[in-house]
Amino acid sequence: MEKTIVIEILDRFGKVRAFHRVEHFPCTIGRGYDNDIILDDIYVAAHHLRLDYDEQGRLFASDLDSENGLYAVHPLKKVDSLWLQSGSRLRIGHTEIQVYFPDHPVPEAVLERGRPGRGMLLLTSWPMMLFTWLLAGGVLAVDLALETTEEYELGELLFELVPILVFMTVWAGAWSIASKLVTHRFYYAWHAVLIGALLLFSTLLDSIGEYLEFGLLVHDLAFHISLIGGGTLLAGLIYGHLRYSTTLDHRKALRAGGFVALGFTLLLYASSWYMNRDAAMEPQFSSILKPPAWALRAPVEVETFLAGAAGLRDEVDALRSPGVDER
Amino acid sequence: MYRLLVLCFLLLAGAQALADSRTVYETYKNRLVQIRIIDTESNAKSTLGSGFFVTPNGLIITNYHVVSRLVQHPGQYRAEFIISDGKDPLPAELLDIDVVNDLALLRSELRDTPFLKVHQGEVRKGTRLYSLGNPHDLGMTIVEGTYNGLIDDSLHKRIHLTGSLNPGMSGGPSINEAGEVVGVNVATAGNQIGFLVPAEYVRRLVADPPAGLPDASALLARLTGQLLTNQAKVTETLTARPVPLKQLGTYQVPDSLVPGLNCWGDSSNEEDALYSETSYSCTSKHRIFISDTLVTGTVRYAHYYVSARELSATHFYAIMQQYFTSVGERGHREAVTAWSCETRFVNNQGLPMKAALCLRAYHRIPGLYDLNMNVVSLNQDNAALQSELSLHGFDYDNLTMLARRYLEAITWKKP
Repeated sequence: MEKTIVIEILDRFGKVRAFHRVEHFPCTIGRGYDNDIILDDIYVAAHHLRLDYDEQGRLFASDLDSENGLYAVHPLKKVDSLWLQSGSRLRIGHTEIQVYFPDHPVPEAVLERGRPGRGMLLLTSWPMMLFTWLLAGGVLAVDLALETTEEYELGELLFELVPILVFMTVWAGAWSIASKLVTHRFYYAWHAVLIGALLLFSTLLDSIGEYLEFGLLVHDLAFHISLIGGGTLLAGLIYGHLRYSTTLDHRKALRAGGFVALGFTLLLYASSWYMNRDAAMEPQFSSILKPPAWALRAPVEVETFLAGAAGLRDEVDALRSPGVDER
Repeated sequence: MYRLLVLCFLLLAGAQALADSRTVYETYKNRLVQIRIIDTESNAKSTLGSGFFVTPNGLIITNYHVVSRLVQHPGQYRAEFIISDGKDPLPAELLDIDVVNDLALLRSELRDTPFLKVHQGEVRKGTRLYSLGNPHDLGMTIVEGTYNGLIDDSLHKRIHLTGSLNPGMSGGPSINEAGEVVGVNVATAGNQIGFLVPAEYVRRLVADPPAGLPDASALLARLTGQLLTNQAKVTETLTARPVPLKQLGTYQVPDSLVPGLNCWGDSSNEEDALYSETSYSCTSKHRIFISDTLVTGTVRYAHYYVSARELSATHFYAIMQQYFTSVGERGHREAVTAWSCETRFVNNQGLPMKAALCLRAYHRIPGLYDLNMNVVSLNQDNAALQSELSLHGFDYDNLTMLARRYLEAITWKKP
């Protein structure tokens, strides 16, 4: 029994240009108009290829003495004829042909985004965006208020947030346009939730870092937490944006976000190192102050504290490059 | 008629002063020299100063800071001098230094030189002095000034001269009308305020010159020895009596450790500020010049009492954080090492504090260190004391001892 087959005509990028259902055999392929399948390829002969079943019911392709011949693909090899299975690929002229039997399995449909679960639906909603922005703005305002040394009014404080709000609006807008171009939907609320969350969590993270540094007396802890934590948040942000504005799958989007964040974090570390390479010429110590209740490490007596100077003396002695300068 | 008489008198007085300066200059100009420190590579002058013959066998006094490059980079520089009325430069060699008082003794090949005697005994305030030197390489100059007593911060001495000293006059003599050296020009604070090294240090340096010419490492060892001796003496002075105390807000803090330190206080209570601040700081007046990149020998400390009435503890300590930093402690990497610091919570006899202790060493002066200690009290929610102590050029034992005395003097009393 001769089985119906489906032939895909592929362009040189591997994209399918046409499907042909073949029910009658033999089937000829070539440039001539009397073929069953006609190809628009100047490197293909008028009558180039024939597909048929043999007595045992095996499908095969044979070259009809064409000038440019028939090639098996993967690996590429010139042949006179070859047996075909579902999924076999061959090449004539500059055209690739892939053969499928109708029962060839196909992968599950990719879930369309924007119709996700209830949780995602909530996260990508306008109320959620408003909530995130208000929360982030509030936390940031408190943060700013705690730094000011003069009397201030709420209006002044909020005014300081305006540039940040403008940036967030533009940022979310840019990603929305990307989303619209690729996925045909804006997802503005989602992109805005993401940038709002970044602001919120990075501000919180900075504060947590400062409290930890003060309480545990670890010099530069706040700086490292801010940079590494900020990098992780950035990876999440880029991932979130990419998933809704490109067709990248989970893993690729995660990788892209990771790379961007890693690059950004390393850049910040490098620039901080460059800017501060001379910093130790001034006294550098953990200068963060928080309310006394947050002093987590046990205090030492004056004697013990000053005994620590012996260690410092050994350190700076090791840094000395003595001797008369004989330039 | 009366007016005419007054005018004549004034003109005569002016002429008299002019004659004095002229006579002094004419009499002593052949005892003055210009000191030139020559860069051997370009064979051009890199530092200019003044000096004078102090003995008949060709010994010259100048400032240490004029010739410091000979000590710091002996291979790169050499010294020469020009007698004010001569023209060809003659070679000179560095024989001895007094780095603490900024003096240097040079040796020349000349013999039987006319020289300036060093004054002995008291000088009365108001005595007229003549400062001689070569300002800005413009030629030998004489400037009239007035002796205005000693500036004494209990640690070091300088003469206060009211008169115009200018760059290039460093190392030149300031003499009285008898031509005796009362002091050596060393610095100026502008506006007719000049400083002289008292003559007693010149006498001490000349009294016992080394027999042979010291090499570079011997000079450096001499410099190190002088600094070590000086810091021991300074420490002794600083600790001769119990730390005097001063009330700042609800805290007691060290007052002027010795009489004569430069101490200043201030307070702010602006209407739109969220807090008020009272400050008190003291600095020693004298600094020891070591090289173009290193000045040492200073004692400096400052206290800030900050209080707020209506601030949360979080906000108050965020403000306090701005006080808890060190400023003006930048070092030159050619002269000093980087700072090494440690930060601890300290129980200062019941007063909880956050304290940072930093130390650095000198590359070419073994055994001497700089200390920076910064503390802030943590016993109240919206009032705190921040205090910073900077000590430059002390040995380790003295540094830690001085730091402990200082820290333990800080106390708090419940109001």
